[in-house]
This record gives sequence, C-alpha cells and structure tokens, in this order.
Amino acid sequence: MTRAKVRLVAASAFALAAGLLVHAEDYKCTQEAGCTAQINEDGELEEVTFRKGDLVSTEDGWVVSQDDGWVKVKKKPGGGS
Amino acid sequence: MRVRTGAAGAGARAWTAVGAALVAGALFLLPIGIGLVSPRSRQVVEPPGAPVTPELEPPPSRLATPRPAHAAADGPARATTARASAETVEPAGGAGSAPPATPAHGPALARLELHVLGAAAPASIELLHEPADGGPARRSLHASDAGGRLALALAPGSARAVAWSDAATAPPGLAELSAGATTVLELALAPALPVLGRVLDAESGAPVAGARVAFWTFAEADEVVSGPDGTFRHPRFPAAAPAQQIAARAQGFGTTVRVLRLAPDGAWKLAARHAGEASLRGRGTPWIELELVREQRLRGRVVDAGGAPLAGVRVAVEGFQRAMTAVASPDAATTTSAADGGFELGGLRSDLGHALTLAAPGLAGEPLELPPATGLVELGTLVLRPATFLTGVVLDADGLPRAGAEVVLRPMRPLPTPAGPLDAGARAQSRERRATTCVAGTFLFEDLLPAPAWLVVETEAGERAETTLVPGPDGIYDTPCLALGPAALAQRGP
Repeated sequence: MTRAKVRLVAASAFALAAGLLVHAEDYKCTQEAGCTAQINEDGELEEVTFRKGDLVSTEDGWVVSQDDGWVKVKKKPGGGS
Repeated sequence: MRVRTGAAGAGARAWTAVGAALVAGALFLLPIGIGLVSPRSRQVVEPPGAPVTPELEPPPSRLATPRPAHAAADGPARATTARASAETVEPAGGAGSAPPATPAHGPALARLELHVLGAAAPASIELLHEPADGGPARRSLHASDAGGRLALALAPGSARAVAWSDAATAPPGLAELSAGATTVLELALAPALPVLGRVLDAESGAPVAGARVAFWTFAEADEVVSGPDGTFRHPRFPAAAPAQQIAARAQGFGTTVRVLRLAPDGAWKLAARHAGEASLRGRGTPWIELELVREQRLRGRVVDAGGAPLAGVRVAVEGFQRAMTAVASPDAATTTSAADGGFELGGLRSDLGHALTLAAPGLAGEPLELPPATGLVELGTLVLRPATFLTGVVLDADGLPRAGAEVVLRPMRPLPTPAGPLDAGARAQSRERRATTCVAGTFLFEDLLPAPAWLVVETEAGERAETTLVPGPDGIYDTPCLALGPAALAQRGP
C-alpha cells in the first residue's frame, strides 16, 4: 500500500471516530413502566429493558426510540448541545 | 415554621407570569386567548427504586453450597416468548370477589382482570399503576387465586403487570384502564432460568448475609435473600428476555446494579461496567458475584433566608452508577424535612458523587455537589431563598406562535467531574426542566433558582432556537422570544 493510501485510510478512520463522538447522545428513560433499547450483541440485535431514570449513551451502539419514553438529555462533548 | 405555600404568593407569581405572557403575545400580534401551560417539569416523579409494599414474599433462598467449580446446565429448557394480551370489554361480572368497576360513591374506577395462564397454584403479580390524573405511579404486590385470576378496581390510567410462580415468569403485560370499563390482561407463564451467585462486601470481601437480590427490570418485588455465606439462588430469570438488570441491596450498603445476559444457546455474560473491567462469561447456570459498597448517609437542616426552619421541603439526592459502559443507573433517595427542618437520607453508594436538591413551592436553593464519602456526612444548615419564574414565547419561521413545542431549560453550571470508574457524572443532566408551549406559543417555568441558564427548543422538523438567560438584580428574567429556524443556522450553546 502506498504512503498516500495509508494516510487516506488513517484519515478516514479518524473522521469516522470523530463522527461517532460528535453524534453520541445521552437518553434518559422517562416512562414509569420502563423503556426498551436495542443493541447489537454478538451479531444479533437484542432488546433490553431499562428502568425509569436510566441513562443510555448511543456511543456503544444502543438504539433508542423517543416514542418509547427516551428523552435526549445532552450530547457528548463535541456535539454542541 | 412551615414552607410558604399560601395561595397569595403562588397566585401573584401566576398572575405575573400570565401578564408577562400577554405582553409577549401582544408584541408579536398573537391571537388573544392564552391557554394553560403544562410544564412537564411540574409532574410528580417517583424516585427510582420506590419502595414496594409486599403482600406476598417469595421464599428466601438458602444455599449451603459454596461457589461451584464449574457451572452446570441444569436450567429448564428455554421457552418461547410468553403471551400477554389485553382487551377492553364492557363492565360485567367477573372473577371471584372482584370489586365493582363503578362504586356507589366517589369517582368511577376501572376494573382490571388479570388471568395468569399456566398457573397451577396462586401466582405472584407485581402491578405498576400510573393514574391518568397525573398522580404518582405506585407498585403493588398481589397474589392470584389458585386458578391464576385476580381482579382489581383502579383509577383510570395505565398498568404494567408481571407474574411469576415457583420457577416460571410471565412477560410484562400493559393495559390502558378506562373509567367504568373492564380490561382483561392475560399473562402466560413460561419456564424461567435459575441464577446462582454470592453477595460480598466490596471492601473486605466478606459475604453479606440478608442481601436482597432481584431482576428489577422485570419485577422489583421478586427478591431472594442471600444466606449466611452470602450465596443466593434466584430461580426466575425470565427466559423470554435476553438481558436484565440484577440489583443487590442490603442494610448499611449502597445498591449494586449489573446487567446479566442469557443467550438462547445457554451462554451468559455479566457485562463489564467500565472500560477497565472485563465481562464475566460462562455457559449453563450463571454464577455471579455482586459486590456491595458501604453506604453514605446525609444529614442536614433546611431554613429560610431568615434562618427559620422549613418543614415539608422535598430533599432529593441523585448520583449515577455505571451498570454497563454506556448505561448509567440512578443511585437516588428522597425524603421530606421534619418540623425542625431536619432530614436524613441513607442507602447511597459511597463511591459515587451525588447532587442534592431542595424543592418547596416558591423557594429554591443551589444544588449541592457532594463528593464520595463513607458513613454519615453532616451537611449543616442549607438555606432556601425565594424562587423566580421564567415565561417566554416560541415563534415559527413566519413569526406565528408555535404550540406544542418542547422547551428545555438547563442550568449553566459545569458538569460534575466523575469521582471514579463507576461514577457516570451525569447528575447535572437530570436537572433539566422541560415545558411545552400552549396554543399561544408561550411557556412557563416556576420555582427556579435565579441563576444563568440556557434555553433551547427543538422540533421534529429540525427547527431550533436557543438563547442564554441571566436574571436581573431582582432575580427576574427578561421574557425570551425564541424564533425557530433551521437547526444548522442556530447558535450552539453549552
């Protein structure tokens, strides 16, 4: 691989990591009956139940729905809000 | 002296707020007819882990055997997902000695009939009831009859019910309850999976006897108690759910929360809580060790600006422990100050930072950031001062009032520094306040501490507006006008 390609791959990886950081968000479960979130575990999408008050960050791949009681509380540093 | 809850003070604030909203509306030629604002921040919030009054205790576990050398796959076969369904029918006669849906006196109640399918003996049922009138949600524990039937008369609202028997669980069923109507909820039992383990003192490594262990994301009241050697056997990990939070609590200790996964192929994993920790994995019946840290207790006294004791002040303390690397669970407690203004809170983890807040109508105080500490912490005298309010208006891109927009108010205090690997440091986030604009586009926040704050409104269409607020010397905020525009053009705040 040429030096230029190595630089391109490194830059792409850096941009991807930066993008993930920018888009990581925290959500809080606000439903008395709890909320569900999904995560990819060993290649399978798993649904997990949370209690009211629990916080989940999307940085580890959690997928949440605001229709299911999740409320965005604050973006991670770099996210702006 | 009691907290000032007089109608005169509250009325004056409300009229001032309405007046400010009217001025804002007139400035922007808003239609007359300001409606009621419904700030979500005023809703009663039950503290996580609210106590359950058990009416039926499951038999405590007493394992004499130490940790097994290797786990054996002795659990029952995994079952398919249990069936839970709900249907609403007209009021009618029902099961056993069920109370009437409409009593002779008082407001009309809803009737909930629970059928636990597959029950060969009375089953335990945990019910979470959330009244539609905005009252606090309550958990209660019940027992069905031998046929698995239970009927309840409840205020209209919503309900979540789970059921269990000796070695079986039924997935949660949800129901909407209407006044005068009967709702039937079927809960189908399916074989559950046993989980073995031991509860230890994190500091000394000694076993903790009498600790209560539950899969509390499934059923908070389905607890087993650790034996003299700290071991426990919980026979009811719900097979239909791949992951649950397991919580351990004991007198003199804080609560420990972990996430346990049981895969259909028999593999299990106790998830790591932070980057420096490894997940524990195995196959067959899980064996897990849960470490408890010593508790932190808080004691203090609340007074007003004149030094008079304040009774009835809601005292809330909140921290967050990591249950997984990207999951934080509240470590919280609440109480109310006594006649002399005094209060005491316990059962908090000693390895986390916490934020303590005081709340009383018309009064506000600076949240107190508390570092980790073990044992009793004397907070001394805490002062509440007169609170302020904030009202404003949200307009769309055409300058028209926007109804139904959610406005978020966030204090401009720095985020707390995490105190350790398990401290999520997220406690400032939970102090956000939220309100929804009414038909005139106005919103209202009450009982605020006069301090710099950040205000933002975002819509599902991607519109956004925000501003920073600094109260004047009199503690009053200027009335903000948030004009929605494309999110990309909006100024970004903290």
